[in-house]
Amino acid sequence: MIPWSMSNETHQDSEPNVAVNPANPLQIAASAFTLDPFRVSIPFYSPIFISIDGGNTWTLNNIVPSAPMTYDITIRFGASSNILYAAILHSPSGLMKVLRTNNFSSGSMTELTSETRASVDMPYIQATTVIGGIDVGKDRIYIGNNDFNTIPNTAKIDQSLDAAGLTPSFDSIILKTRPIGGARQDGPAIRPAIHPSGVVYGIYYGYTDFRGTFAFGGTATCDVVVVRDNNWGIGSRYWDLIDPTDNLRGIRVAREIEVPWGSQISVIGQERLCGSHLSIVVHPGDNRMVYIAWADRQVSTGLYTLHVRKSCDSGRTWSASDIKTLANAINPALAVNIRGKVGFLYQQHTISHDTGLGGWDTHLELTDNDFTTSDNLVLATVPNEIPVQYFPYLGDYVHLMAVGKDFYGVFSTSNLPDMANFPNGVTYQRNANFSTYTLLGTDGTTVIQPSIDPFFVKVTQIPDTSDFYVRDWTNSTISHDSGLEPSTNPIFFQTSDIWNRHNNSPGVFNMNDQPDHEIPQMDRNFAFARICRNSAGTSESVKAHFLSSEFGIGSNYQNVNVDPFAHDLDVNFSSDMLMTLTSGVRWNLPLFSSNHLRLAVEISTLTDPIIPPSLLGHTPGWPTTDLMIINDNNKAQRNMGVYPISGVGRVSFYAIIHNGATFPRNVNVLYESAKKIENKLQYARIEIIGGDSQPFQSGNIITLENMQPGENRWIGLTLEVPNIGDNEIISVMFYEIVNKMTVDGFGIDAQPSTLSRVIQDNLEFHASVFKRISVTFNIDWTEEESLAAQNLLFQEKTSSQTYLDFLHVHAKLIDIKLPEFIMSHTSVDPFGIHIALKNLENAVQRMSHNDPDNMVQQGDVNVCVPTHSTLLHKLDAFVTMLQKSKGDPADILQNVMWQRDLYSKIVHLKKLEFSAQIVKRSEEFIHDFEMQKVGNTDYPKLISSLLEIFRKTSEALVSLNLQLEKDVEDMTNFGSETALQRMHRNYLLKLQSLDKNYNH
Amino acid sequence: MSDRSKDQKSIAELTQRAGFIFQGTVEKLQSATMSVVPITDSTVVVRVDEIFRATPNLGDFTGKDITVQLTTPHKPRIGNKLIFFTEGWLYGNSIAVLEIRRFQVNDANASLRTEITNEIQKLPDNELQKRVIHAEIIVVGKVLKSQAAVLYRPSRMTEHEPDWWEADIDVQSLEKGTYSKKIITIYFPHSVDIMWYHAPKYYIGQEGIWLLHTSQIEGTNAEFYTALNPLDFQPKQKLERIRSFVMQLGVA
Repeated sequence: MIPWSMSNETHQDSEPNVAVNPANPLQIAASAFTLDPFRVSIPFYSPIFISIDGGNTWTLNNIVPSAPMTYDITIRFGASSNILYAAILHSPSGLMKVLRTNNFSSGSMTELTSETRASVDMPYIQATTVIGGIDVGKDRIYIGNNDFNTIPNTAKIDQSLDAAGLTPSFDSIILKTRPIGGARQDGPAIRPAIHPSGVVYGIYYGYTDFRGTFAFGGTATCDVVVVRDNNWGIGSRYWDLIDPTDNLRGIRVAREIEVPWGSQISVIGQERLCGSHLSIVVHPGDNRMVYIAWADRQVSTGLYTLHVRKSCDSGRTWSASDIKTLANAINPALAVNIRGKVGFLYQQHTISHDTGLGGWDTHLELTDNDFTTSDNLVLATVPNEIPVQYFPYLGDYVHLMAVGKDFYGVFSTSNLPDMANFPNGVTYQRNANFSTYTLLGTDGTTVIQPSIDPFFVKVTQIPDTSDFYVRDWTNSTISHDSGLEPSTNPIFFQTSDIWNRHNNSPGVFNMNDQPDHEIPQMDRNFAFARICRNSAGTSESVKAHFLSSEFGIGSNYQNVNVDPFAHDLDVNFSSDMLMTLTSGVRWNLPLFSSNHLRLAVEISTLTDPIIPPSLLGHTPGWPTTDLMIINDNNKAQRNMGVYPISGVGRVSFYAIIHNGATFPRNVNVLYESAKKIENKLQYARIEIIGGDSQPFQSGNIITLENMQPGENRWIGLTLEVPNIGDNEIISVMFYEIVNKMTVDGFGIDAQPSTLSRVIQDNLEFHASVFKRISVTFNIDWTEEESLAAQNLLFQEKTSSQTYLDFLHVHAKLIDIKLPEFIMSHTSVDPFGIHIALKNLENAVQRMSHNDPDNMVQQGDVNVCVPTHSTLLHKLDAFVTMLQKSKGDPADILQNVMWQRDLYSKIVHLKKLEFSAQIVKRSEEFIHDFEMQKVGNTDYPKLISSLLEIFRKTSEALVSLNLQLEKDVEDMTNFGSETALQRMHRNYLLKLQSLDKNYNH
Repeated sequence: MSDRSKDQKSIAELTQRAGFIFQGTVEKLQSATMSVVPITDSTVVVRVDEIFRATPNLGDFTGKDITVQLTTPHKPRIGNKLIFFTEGWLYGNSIAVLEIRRFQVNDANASLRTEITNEIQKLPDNELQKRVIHAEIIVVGKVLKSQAAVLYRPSRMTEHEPDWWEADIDVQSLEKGTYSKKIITIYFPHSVDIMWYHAPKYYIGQEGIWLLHTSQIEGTNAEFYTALNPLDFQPKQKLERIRSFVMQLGVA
């Protein structure tokens, strides 16, 4: 990384760190103990390394206000803010300072003075940007540090929840609550790890005793402690992991281990040991999966040893033994990429069998199976012969991070130019002659003595030529998703490159490069997707798979109903192509289905598959808070209700809220609109069906309390149709919020249109809603209603008068028959259809102000249009509600996952002798379903095979009076997969009732 | 103060501040030698004709094009020959520097080159003089004893632990300040951690000149004399020079 212009330098550039800008991985910053090249610049600055080409070339940028270098320094970018943060120990003062810059290639870093503090050691920073929800766009930074101001409990995390703000404030949290024993402090390494869902982990060495001194060598006795906070560090203040053996904060993964200290006798290969070798990382797609690494001295062998362990349950339990153990190794750095591949960078001291001389090997191991097998890349293998200038020799730490699929790391080692030292190749920027093994000055002739340099490594999992993606968002021809994982725009469902058409033509892209989506129509539709890659070069075939689910939040995806049954479409990319459209995939919207749907596409190749699981049977956000759409550039969804509006008065729209989790919970939905249209929403209301309604207040959260797994509820938006001539789209976004984090979302666009367009739309909607009722409930008059509307649509253009005539007749007919239909299914009218119907009748027959003698004459079409539309939306949602009450095949996988969780977590069930069997069978089905080896048609077989267990469960729990016998009996006589899903759910709901204190 | 003396002062200040002083010829306007440089109206490419001051780490850039980010008004023209006082900015396959000030090269300021050279030659002395000014006492002597500091009880364990040692110096002469004893004990960090490695270490038999300052030593709860800056210890050959600085202060 030392640039050509610094070819003459011989400094020991140890203890490197690296930060990749997740919003633009071409931008990378790195740091080391590198001197200000001029060393006399006033004011005093020291450099960081910067690259704007993904690490291919590096430049020193003198922007850190500390000279002639920093002492400790770690750096990190916000996830989408483009701001680079640094936590340093300042030279010469030794103060901890936190710095930031929004332009890392220009200008200097500025100090966040509120965080400047003396008597602090080894600040280690992590940063992210909140990608959705209440605090969307805010940068959050977490700095692990050893703070001697709070001796003896010195392990701390300092955090700022708005680090990009004008004057960020910091909160300093002492992590340790256990008795300190004979020690006076904790270890210097305190490492945070952030998941974008807001779950923050920390790891530290909690000291219990210390013998000796640093100068002459000593030994710390300590625990390796992992802490967690589920809500950005402000929820429980890191009390979300409690050790069950002492009920104190943090799980002790290892206890009473020995960590050697010192710079004289506690040394490996010229490197000192000081309790700095800790690493923690959380899987970016699953906040429950955590890896840690620590170092200790093994009592049995006396060897300094690295250990790697894994937790799959948010840190509560850990692998019983190491998944990786390395003797004589230091500087562990773990990373997990978006696909769950684990990267492990470390440096190991070796003794040559031939010469008996010591050396340092730097490894990067990559594994998909917790090191059962791994790709072990030896990045450097160098003799340990460069003289020490100071400690640390190589560094007290290195760093590895993953952005998307790729790994980025940095380490320091000997810069002796010998290709044998770099088995996987190396590129020097500084002048060097690999034939003569000599470094050369900028003049190309002066021989320069070797020293310790930082080296950058990037491991690309899929080259750009083979990394295909579907955009999650497009704002314009120049501002759009470029395949980043995760993508950076919180609205990932409005302008995605997946859309529907009524005919087999992709339509015309608008001036902002967005496709022209058409709301699905009854029967025949065509789904399209635009597939991109960032570099041409290979011919490849990309498979595109289309799915749909209910419009709203939390509903599980199913394959679109394609005709013929071929869900996958092969799209051929020639070697020179960067982008192409799929051909239209014809799919049918069944007559009994609502056309209020969301669409999704998953693309894959042999080398670039989707990140499992598929959306099939799942919904974004569940079963974990995995943002499966934005994390995987092979997936995209469109979840927008785009409705034309016109006329005068109010109009209402509805969406489903489904609890996609496998446990009861409060579902929080945040809604918001752009500031510029807030005045158009001043009389708008948000309605919770079966609950309250409230005035629209952008940014508010509505809570749907105690939703059971698989339960559906509806929310509605009612707004005033804007005045004629006001053509601005009224766009309202809804987000499912978990821990203040967006996990899913949808939008409603009310699009001012011409009266004739909305009349057309209403008639189509009228035809489809009544057809649905006819097909679903076998009611003749609704078929006639549908036909009447369709007949009108066959006319070339329906005039306002013809439309009014239609309504005049049909409002009366509907008023006579619809209440009977509603009352036959429910004693309540949850959507207020009766009132909507009366409103329509009043609208078509309202009194004329101009002619009070003519009391009943046809009304104003401008009033009728939104009133009719509202009635249809209410009716459509009601019909969906009735359909869902009969069962939902989309929830089959969710049922099985729920069943697994109940039998593995609820005490009453867990203790049953056959619970392990049902959990195992459920796991197998879930696995096979996610691998698409089985599907909904295999569900009855699974249930049949479990009936005996259900019966035994019923018998075992008979004293609890759950009355499970009837449900089990029902399941033996199911009529369809849909009905079976409902019966199975009824059974599971009763089991769920056993868990009164289910707490997630 | 005359204008000339003002200029002299500014040249001295500029020389002290600027890490890279050179004469160059403007080659391109609104251009840069490195892709990482954001190009503005003030970004120019300059060929380095002669270097007055540079760090040895940088090697010899004479004859090479570099990028200069101008900060003063009145943009130069292509072909202008100028003397630039600059500070460091970007170092890659070329370098980019930030202008502090520039001067036209012409007959009117023919003496400028000499002044710059003179000021550069003074720089080491200037630094030493500053240390002399700030030193509380200056002694000439010889280290009699060097050992781990007896009173030092570190209150914390950190890799940046200074590991204070004490050296007893047999005072041969007192050059500045007040001190009446024959032996003076000074503290120094024995650590070679990144935070302390640059601080001089003192060993038995070492002779020279110590420029001493008092420092609060954490872990002793007391103040001790220290000589932490590399310039705080000088060989005896520098004695006359240091005496001249002390004389200028009039406080010996």
